[in-house]
Amino acid sequence: MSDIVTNAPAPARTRLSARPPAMRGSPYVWLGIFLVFMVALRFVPNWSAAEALVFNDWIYLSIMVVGFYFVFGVAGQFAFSQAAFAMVGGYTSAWATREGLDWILAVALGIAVASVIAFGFAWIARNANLFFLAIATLALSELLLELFKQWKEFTGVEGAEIALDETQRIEIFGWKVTDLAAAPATNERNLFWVFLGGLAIVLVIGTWMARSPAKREAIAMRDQPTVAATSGVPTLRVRISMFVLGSAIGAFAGSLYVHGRGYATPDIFSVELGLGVFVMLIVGGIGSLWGPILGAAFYAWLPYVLRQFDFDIFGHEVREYKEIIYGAVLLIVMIFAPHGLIGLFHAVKAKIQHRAHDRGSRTWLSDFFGITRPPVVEVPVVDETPSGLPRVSAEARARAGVDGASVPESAVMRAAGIHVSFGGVRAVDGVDLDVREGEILGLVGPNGSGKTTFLNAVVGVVPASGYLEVGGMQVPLGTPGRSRGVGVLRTYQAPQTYDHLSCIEDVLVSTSDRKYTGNLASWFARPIVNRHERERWGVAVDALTRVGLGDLAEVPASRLTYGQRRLLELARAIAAGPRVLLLDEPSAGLDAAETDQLASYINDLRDEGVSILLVDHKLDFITGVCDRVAVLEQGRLVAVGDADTVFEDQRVVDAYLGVADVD
Amino acid sequence: MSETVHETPGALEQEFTPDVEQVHASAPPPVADIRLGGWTKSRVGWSITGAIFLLWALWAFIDNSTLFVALLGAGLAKGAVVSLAAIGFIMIMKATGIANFAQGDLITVGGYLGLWATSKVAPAVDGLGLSLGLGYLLVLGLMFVLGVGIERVAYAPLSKRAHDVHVVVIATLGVAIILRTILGMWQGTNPRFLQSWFNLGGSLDGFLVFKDGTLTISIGFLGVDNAVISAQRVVIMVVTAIVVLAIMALFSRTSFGRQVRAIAADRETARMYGVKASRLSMLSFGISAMLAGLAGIMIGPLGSFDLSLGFSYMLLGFAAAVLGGFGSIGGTVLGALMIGLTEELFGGQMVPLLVEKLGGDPVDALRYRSVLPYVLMLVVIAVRPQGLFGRAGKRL
Repeated sequence: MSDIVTNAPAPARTRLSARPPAMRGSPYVWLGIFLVFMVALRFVPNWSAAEALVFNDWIYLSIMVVGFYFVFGVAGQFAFSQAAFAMVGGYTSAWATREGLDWILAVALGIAVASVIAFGFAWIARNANLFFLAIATLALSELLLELFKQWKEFTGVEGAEIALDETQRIEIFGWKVTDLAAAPATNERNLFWVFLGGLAIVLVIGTWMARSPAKREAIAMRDQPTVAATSGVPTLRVRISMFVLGSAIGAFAGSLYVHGRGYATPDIFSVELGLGVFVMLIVGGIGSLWGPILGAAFYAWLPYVLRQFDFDIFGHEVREYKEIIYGAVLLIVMIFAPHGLIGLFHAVKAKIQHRAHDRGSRTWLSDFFGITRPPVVEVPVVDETPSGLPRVSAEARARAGVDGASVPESAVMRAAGIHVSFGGVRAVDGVDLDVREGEILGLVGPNGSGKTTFLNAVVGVVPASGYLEVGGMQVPLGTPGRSRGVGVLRTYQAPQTYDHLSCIEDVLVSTSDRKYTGNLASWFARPIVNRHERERWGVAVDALTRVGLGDLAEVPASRLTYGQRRLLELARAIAAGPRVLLLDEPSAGLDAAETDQLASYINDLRDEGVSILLVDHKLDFITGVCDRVAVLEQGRLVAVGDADTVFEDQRVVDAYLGVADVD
Repeated sequence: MSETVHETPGALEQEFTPDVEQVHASAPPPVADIRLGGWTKSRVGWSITGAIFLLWALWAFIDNSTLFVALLGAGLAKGAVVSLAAIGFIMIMKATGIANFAQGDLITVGGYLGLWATSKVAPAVDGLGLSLGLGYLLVLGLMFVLGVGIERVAYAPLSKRAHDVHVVVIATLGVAIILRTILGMWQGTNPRFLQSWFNLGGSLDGFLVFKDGTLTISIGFLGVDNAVISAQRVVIMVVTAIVVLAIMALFSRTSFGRQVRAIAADRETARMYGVKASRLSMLSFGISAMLAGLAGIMIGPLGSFDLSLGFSYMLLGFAAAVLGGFGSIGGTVLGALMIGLTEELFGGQMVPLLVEKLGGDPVDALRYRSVLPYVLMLVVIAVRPQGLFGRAGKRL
């Protein structure tokens, strides 16, 4: 790919690292520093027994919220079920130790059972979005809570308020972590080490995820589910696996807690805690692995701090206002500091370093909640269809079966009888269209003639019927990502980029090498993941450099101009190694020079053997680059042929300009 | 606007400016339904499912008709209250586009305000000790004011500031937490009991068919012998039926209803045509809170209640809205009645009966009946995400 000579002016030499950002830096050192800091924080001040208890609660809650960070912070799923999964983990492992299982195996079993339930739920609710999912997780929490309260055979006692005996507690190589006979202070001190170990494990998992394609794909799925799907991201798998992973970590936290403290009641895993987990993540900061730890600190220490104040407000002790403070802080943070405490920390850090800190306080969440908005890109209106003219004659519409639409012998993509209906409107009405190997086929037509819908049908983002074949293989319609599998890539009329990924990550998401992109690979096959990442990195850098965006590789896609976004989309498609490229109005909003540039990119791609289906309104652009032109009119194909012939065709003139009714 | 646009909302917009996310949320490709003698396969499936449940219910009726009638009454009453919660929820959703997570705690507030207004002695704190009628009217009025207040404080400023309705949903969560905490600080957290006219010892006990706070039904030839339904439950059913009819009339007959429907269908267009969105949202918040208050003072006398009174009703209301497909009032009420019957009748008699015949312990089965509505909701989400009474293709 890189040896292709392009007509484009040679892009400025980039200072791109040969290593993907996910493989730079030394996160493990920072992790080590953090753990040492926590140990120092625990043992240098002389904490009282009560404070030691709060300290451990903080760490336990941190583990739980890191899990929720995967679910909501990374994958964007609005769930209240984290506490419920902690309960599942806790009670399952308590049951297992009662049955005589070793505590480590019991905890593993608790995690496994919670994962199975989370998987089943995520599968059932796979189509549920936003608040519907929130409601469903609330219902699931209530269901599990009721179930455990009633199921005394499983929990051991009606009402599920259990106490674990000596044999059920954590014991590591004969070291009894908590001992009923020992002083509470000793127990809490020992427990600190266990909880901190648990937190270290989940932080390592989070670090691995950040240093693998898994996090990138989850963010892509969150920001632009459809684009991610048509770029080849298995969105359903990503969505479910992140939910299951986060919930499993919740279960891990729950079972550690139960075996560590030696008791469990449904109240400690109540729906209030489910809401609390939400508060902790938002307050701490949803965009960072460290946010949950700060958020948990706020949540765990606030009641303790309030207890220190010995005065009344309106006749009530200060500590009674705990919940009101939680609610108020949640709102204040969401509105005024969408990055949370960790965002403030970063701001302070930047100030200290005398570095101009990026003031843009947008996160995907603040976008999502509409507190901030993605920068609005002015889309120049190019309306080349004269309006107010008479409608197209019925005669022109009736002519079906266009000569030259089917070229079976040389076609790389064959579409036959494609139908798309919205309610009663037939947007695409039986289109047969073949794209030849290595040609540029233009698709034109008035606004609303079904061009974009046809592309949508081919990549499977609208329900469609008909037959689609790419490279001799039939492709099922109606499922995004299926045509990506056989090499069909597309760009969008309005450029669709992932707002919270950098340009290079945006391109990386769609690279053709899709091996080892999951969470499990990031745990068990790190060297292989890294090798593939380097290769993908090379491909992505080539693609970006080729469209002249090499300098902007590490810039968030949301900061690009409209034209640059178009180029980014093109780079994304190039990096995927397309066989057929569907370009939807690529010249819209570009000036003459940029359009020429675009034409040269398109020609180069064709020379490399990519077949291109080009939808556009600029007729001189179409005439300039296309080998053949097809004309859509009211969802039907009215003409196919070389540009000159087609634009001479009376039917095409009719379709564009309309005909007078001369009845 | 041409007529086509009204018939197929969204279709043309989709064609002209394809919103990718929106496309993603659209229904899966219609799979050709296999036809069996004029009936579609899914219709046959639903009919068979319905028939099985009817036969099961008939079996339960034959087995113990007295219990069946009593539980039918309890289930319908529960469903009635759930439908009040669900209607309030849907009304706000239609008028403002947000999900109000404070709905449950408004029910709790209703119960506690009822106690405060009508009782002068402990456990009521600062009680007014008004007569029931006056007290309840005061509660409903206060609830309306509270609803409007929540709209003004939590919805209006945030919805303007945030450009988007989603942030307000989190705000309603905050409101819920704060309401509950304030209530606990004011009235205490111990269980409470509310008096009503029809309770044992109420002023209308003995009125018409009621005796000792209950309605007793005996139908000789069906074998129903002294089925007991508490009088309060009968009152709940009657009052709810009237309120639901009134709400339906409000939606279909009045200018308010037309405007709410218009704004639910297309917010921007409705505003351009002069619908005053802020007045509508204030009214709908007020009416929803009033419905919640009504639910609170009607379930208060059923037994003791505490601060968590409303939360489960809110979840059941959500479940009912899911069953109804987040659409019509009628569908939601049907969904709510199904939720009530599932818990009381299905979980209270039908399942234990089956378990007993299969050799299990019916008492065990009885314990899990409060779980069943949520199971039903999950099953509905799994097999029919558009709701039992929702139209295909419409999704959340």
